[in-house]
Amino acid sequence: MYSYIYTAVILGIEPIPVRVEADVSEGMPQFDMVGYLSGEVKEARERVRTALNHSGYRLPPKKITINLTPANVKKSGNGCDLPVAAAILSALGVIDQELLSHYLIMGEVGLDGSILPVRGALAAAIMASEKQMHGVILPSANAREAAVYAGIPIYPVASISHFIELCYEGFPKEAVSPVTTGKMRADYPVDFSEIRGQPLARLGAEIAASGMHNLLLIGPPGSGKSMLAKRMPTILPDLTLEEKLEVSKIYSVYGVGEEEAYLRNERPFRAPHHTITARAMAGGGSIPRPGEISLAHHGVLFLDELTEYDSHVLEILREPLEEKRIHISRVETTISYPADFLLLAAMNPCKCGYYPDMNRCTCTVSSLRRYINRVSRPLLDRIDLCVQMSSLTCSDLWSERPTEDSETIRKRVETVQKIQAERFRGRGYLFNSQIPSGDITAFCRMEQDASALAWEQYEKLQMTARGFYKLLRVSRTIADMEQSECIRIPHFQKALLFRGLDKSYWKLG
Amino acid sequence: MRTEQLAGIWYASLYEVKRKHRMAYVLDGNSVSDLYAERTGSDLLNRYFTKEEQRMILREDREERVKKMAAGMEQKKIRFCSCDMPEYPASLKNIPDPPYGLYYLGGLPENDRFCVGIVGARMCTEYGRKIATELGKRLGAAGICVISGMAAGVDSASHAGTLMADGETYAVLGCGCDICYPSSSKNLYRQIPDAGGVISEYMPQTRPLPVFFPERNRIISGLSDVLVVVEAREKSGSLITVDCALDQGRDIYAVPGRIGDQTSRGCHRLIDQGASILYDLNRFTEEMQQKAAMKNKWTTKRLTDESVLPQKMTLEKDEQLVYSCLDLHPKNVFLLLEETGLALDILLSVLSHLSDLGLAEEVQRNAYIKTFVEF
Repeated sequence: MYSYIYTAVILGIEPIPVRVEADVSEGMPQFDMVGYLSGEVKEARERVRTALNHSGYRLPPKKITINLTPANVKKSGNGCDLPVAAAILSALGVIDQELLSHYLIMGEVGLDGSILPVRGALAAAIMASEKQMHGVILPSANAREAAVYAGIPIYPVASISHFIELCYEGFPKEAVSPVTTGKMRADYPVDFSEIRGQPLARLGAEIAASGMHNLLLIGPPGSGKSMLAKRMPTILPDLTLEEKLEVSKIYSVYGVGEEEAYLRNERPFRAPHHTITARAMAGGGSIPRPGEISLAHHGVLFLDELTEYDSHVLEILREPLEEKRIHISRVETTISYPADFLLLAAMNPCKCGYYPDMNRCTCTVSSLRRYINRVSRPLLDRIDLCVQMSSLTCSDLWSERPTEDSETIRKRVETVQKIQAERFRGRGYLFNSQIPSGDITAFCRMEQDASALAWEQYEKLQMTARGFYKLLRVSRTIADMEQSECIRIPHFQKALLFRGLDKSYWKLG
Repeated sequence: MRTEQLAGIWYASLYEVKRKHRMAYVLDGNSVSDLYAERTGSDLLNRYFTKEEQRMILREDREERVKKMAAGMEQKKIRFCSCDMPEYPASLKNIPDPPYGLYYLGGLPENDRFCVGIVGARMCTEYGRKIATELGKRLGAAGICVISGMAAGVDSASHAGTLMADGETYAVLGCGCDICYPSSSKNLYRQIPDAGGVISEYMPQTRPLPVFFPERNRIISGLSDVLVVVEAREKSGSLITVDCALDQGRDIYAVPGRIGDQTSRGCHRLIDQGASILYDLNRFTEEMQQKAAMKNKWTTKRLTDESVLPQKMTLEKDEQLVYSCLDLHPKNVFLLLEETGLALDILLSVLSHLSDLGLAEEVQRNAYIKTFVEF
């Protein structure tokens, strides 16, 4: 008898629909699995046979063939066990094939017949809903994760016996209701109000958030760079439902513990250590998994001690910063992961950290030169804003004066982002930081005297065209923050304050 | 090239012969050309040189070697002057250990020019850099030559200032004069030969070695009538130059800083030990002009145009406030925000206006100083 079951296999972060076919025929007793399977999928054979035994279904001495289509996609992961079992049971007539063909099934089986959790449950659920299936049958452990997506009924199963029971009783009764998490607002453990003093740094951070400009923090050790960075996500607008699902899908595929499998309300904040490898940053590997840049999708990627990162690793960032995606080539196929993040970097101004304070800087000219040469110019070129951290005065630290909290700042950021959404409607980009050079003159109109100042500074600071355009984009954001249609002198002056870092910061020679 | 120059080049290239011996021979009035042409008697040779050294002197291939060197120098426009030639600066003649020969691009300071040597820290503050530049400007405009070492920091700033004022400046290098060291000074290296000269005691193509730098410092102070130290840490290379200058009987001026400034500690020590204190650029420039006049060295008349003394100007209240918060040490915008209590927009606008008026300058990213108006 022939039967089939639908399941999903994760490729990249996308689930691919896979049909598990089972055929039970006369012939020498055999149990074969085909369909371009990776090691762990092939092992399903042993697990399923034993699990079915335990559940009371001995396999007949017939020729059993299992095929996973399409045959040119490599199947990996541990979610194919249950579908194989179900396909066999269906082919044996134990459960109803017709009924099951409308459901997506995923799960790993233990030797005792229990159903164990898989990765990518949420992603699969979303896909099943898109394919208008009737429901998703998943391990109980994955139920809550998948249930955050309200579009399709979820049927958790704890064991093969439980599964068979479910099939007999009919489905509608057991669906898990979608988890209505009481709080759909982001709830961060940190807040901007914890940052004392640093008025310019806070302004710079708000500009970065408003226009989604990449940001570099430079300053001596202990000046609060990491502290500010960790609080950046708190002033970014809340994620839309769509964005939340995307982020959750990525984490679902990456595989996280029980606790974190819920719908993520908070923007991701990834701070990989500078010893990270290129592969861990980009994603991929023999079994492709999302990398840090994808885990930071719709969030913040923070590179602390920028000069310590391997240049190959920084090179990886070029494509995502431009394309908002990363493409990883494999022999048969190219996987693409989303990677739309706000880049935040922090660095010391010199090896000892105290330049340009000559009373504390102990660097020699040559050691300073060597340090400067380690700074990646191509990456600095892509960072629009640079904020210098000031040293805190005692009065700042102990002051009773309230500093603005994240909520207040976020509201302003949301307003400015709305202006940009309106302005760029239909253009394929959303933020001032993304304005292509061709559209700069259209959107960054300056008042006459502002224009004159701009040209003067262009000469004086020996800017490149790229540097100049960066300044204009930032000026545009500042003008938006002050609700001005046109860019005026004060906006440009502020943009200059935060202009991108280049080698002229260090006075050598 | 004149034969005596060829002889000089040859004699200067004889590294195997002790410099002391070579100088002794010359200082006693003996002729190098004779030596080159093998016209010297053996008893004279024995008086000054060892047998080994004599063998080096009398090598057969010297003519072709010299011709090759001379051709190379001609192509690179490198000139040569030894201590027995008229172009040799008189100021160097009387120092304890004068260089035998000088290779140079451009020219050498003439004997009737008053020269001020300016040295200081490589890792200087913007304050030091600014003072060095201003000094260069004023001395250059006053017709006084500025001598320095083209190193990063104070040296470069003083050369740059002099060039800005179309003055005359000379750089003495610790390597061959055809090598630009440090590479960060390449713009200066290009311009100085036209505005003075790039000078070296070492043969062309000699790479900079640490030992050459203290040696060249004696030439910087030797060429100068007065030595100025702008910034120096407690243990600084500039203090070596001061020692040379003291040996040579030159006057030392040191620029003070604030108590606690590490980069001024060396200067403060010098002042403590008796160096003159340079605390007013106008006053110093005038003093130098007077000294020059006393030695019958010509200078141009005082600066009238450019930066020195603009008319008193009236400032708005906010401008007055910001200006009063500025000093000669760079102050960051965030500090100014705190100190003035002004809104950021207004502060930036005032700073911009003060810069236009020439009263303030952004010397470092987001850090401003008061420019040198009154002094």
